[in-house]
Amino acid sequence: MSLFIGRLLQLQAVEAPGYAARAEAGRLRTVELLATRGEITDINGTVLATSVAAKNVTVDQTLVKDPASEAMALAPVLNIDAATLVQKLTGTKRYTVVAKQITPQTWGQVKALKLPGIFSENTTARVYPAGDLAANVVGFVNGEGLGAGGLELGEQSILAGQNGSDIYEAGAGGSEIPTDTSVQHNPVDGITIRTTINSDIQWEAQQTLEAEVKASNADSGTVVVMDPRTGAILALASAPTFDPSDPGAAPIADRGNRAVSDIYEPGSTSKVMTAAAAIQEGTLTPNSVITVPNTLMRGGRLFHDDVSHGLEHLTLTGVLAKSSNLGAIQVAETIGRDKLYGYLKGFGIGQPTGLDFPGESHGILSPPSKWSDAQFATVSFGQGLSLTAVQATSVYATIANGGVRVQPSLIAGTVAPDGTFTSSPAPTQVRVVSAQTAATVRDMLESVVSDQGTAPLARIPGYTVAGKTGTANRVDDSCSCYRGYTASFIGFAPADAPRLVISVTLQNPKNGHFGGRLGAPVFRQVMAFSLQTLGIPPTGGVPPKMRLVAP
Amino acid sequence: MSTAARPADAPGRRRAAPAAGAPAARQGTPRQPRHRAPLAVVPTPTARASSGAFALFVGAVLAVGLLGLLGLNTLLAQGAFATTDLARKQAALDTAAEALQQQVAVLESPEVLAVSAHRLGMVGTKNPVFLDPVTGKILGVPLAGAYPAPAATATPSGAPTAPATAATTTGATTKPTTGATKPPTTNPPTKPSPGTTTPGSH
Repeated sequence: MSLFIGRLLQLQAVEAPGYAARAEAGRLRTVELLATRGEITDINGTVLATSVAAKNVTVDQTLVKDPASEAMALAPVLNIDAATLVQKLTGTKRYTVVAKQITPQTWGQVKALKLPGIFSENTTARVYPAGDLAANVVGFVNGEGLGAGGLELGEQSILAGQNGSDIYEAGAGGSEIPTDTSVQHNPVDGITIRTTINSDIQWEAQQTLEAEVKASNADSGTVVVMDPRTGAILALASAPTFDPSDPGAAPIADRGNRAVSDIYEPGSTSKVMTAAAAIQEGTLTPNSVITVPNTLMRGGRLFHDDVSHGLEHLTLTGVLAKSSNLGAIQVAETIGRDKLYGYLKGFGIGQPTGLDFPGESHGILSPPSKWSDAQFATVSFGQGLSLTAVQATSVYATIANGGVRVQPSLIAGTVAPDGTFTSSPAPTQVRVVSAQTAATVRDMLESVVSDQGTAPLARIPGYTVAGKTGTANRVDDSCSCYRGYTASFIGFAPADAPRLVISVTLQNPKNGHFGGRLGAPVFRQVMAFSLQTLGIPPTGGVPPKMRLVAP
Repeated sequence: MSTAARPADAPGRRRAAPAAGAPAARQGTPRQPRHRAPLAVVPTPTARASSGAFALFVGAVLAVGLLGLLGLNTLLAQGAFATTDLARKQAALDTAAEALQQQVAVLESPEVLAVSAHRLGMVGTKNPVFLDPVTGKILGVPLAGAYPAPAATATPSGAPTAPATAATTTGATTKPTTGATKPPTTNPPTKPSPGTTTPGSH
């Protein structure tokens, strides 16, 4: 009798708390509450990347009696090869993942099969409703749902949010027993990134560029559309591109963003900086006459223009319009290498753009003390220095914006989970040349698209258009030598009140190589579309009459 | 209690008196004890009934309390069941809404729009053209769109720019308004917002 009493006391008094705790632990459930990753949208809120609820299918292999028949049942629903499934279902593991990130609808079908040992867990999947639209800007996520490229990577900390948890006591059916032991930590959802991208313009840029890259048989190409007044990038196309929902299928080079990471020698588009510097320094005016021989010797190297010609007497405008290398050399010599370097730096060459995009390059501009005489000559016409397409676009945006360089931007702002919008801080602005110099250069650039210039194909009837072609020798990394070309065109419209700057760059085209022939039509197409989309009417301005050759 | 007991005691004593015999007769009041005896019995059951009702009352309170507690617990549990049920329903609706939103996002993406526009026989604009609703002037140079071959993508690029460049060489850099100003002056009331005169969209 005393034995029983002793046992009773032991159970009820001494060990009771332990048993109670074990019972509670058996009832307690902890559920991870997943934070929703922020979206990435375009400037108008069109979704470029979003997260949706998804399920991982898991298996307790010890509960699977007949792997072969279960695999047969699962294969058509999960769209996985039955043989692979048999392997995953066979074994003694209590937990292993069979399929990742299937839709809740598919899970519903799996559940309906009532297969023993098959379970699910909540997860989220990243989806890109617009497909490869702006894929090189948006980027992609890895298998764990973490940013691995583009803005997904660059803004990971903002997009991610923080998972929460729910701890409660549950009955046999899994429903909550109302007690005070339940603790809920709400998840903190990620913040949505609103980019400056305009989906429609981005799409037009991508389509047009892709077609041109194919037609000219180029290695790659980029199109950058920028608002010169705000630095906002409206489109940033890169071809070939990739599918963000299946990044592994594309080569690594296609997954990055060439417009910010690929550097190239700009060639003639760079001459605008040389000309602007000379005008700003007052050494030349648009009508100053420069005598251009057929060849010119500098630093022991013989230079010549694209097309062989006799002795020419070009104006400064003519040097730009006809894109004379020998003219540009002489223009640079009027201000000297230190001043030229200062202006190039001012225009942002070799400087960070401020985009802070993953994989971004700053370009290469060595200091003038390291320039040989030959390099001073080449730098004046855009060889011997490297930049990215965004930097090149920014140079023309500076001219278009009256000489003030506005830091380029890709992020308009953030949208908190409660819907409040916070715009990005105002971009920094730097005056590079005076408004008057910029206006003069704008006038000169309008002559480039004239019949006498190198890019009549860039004209849009009704509008005034200014721009510059570039046909540069391209550095081939495989031989560290010049091989092939970089064909480009950068311009803006309306020329007398610029609203948009567009650059087109084609790397190593094999079917033609002139910027005026390959780049200008792409520019024209994307510019016309953008002007229409944004509702920018012609200004009614008339291109100024500029003298290209000496009277 | 004591007041209730007294009348019961008093008749008792009086009943005892006749049993004693002679002394009662001697006192000479024989009528009275007969009338008082029946009165004495009545109050006794009253006292018993009140203590039983009390027990009943306590029992009822206990029962109501227990039932209330049971009801409350049931309600709470039912609330939890309902919560679980509704949470499940919400999750299902959430996924349905998500799937639909995704569908909308895909349908309104530029690529899908362009393909359906192309299917409807629409082409992209070559030259941006605007109509000034105040002056009735046409800004830009209108150009008829050409429907590309069905095999081509919705966006003309590369080769299809040829007709545009042909127009460039003829009509470039001239004032866009001449000749085109007259017909549209009648248009402004019907077309108040600037739009294209060429058949086209993105």
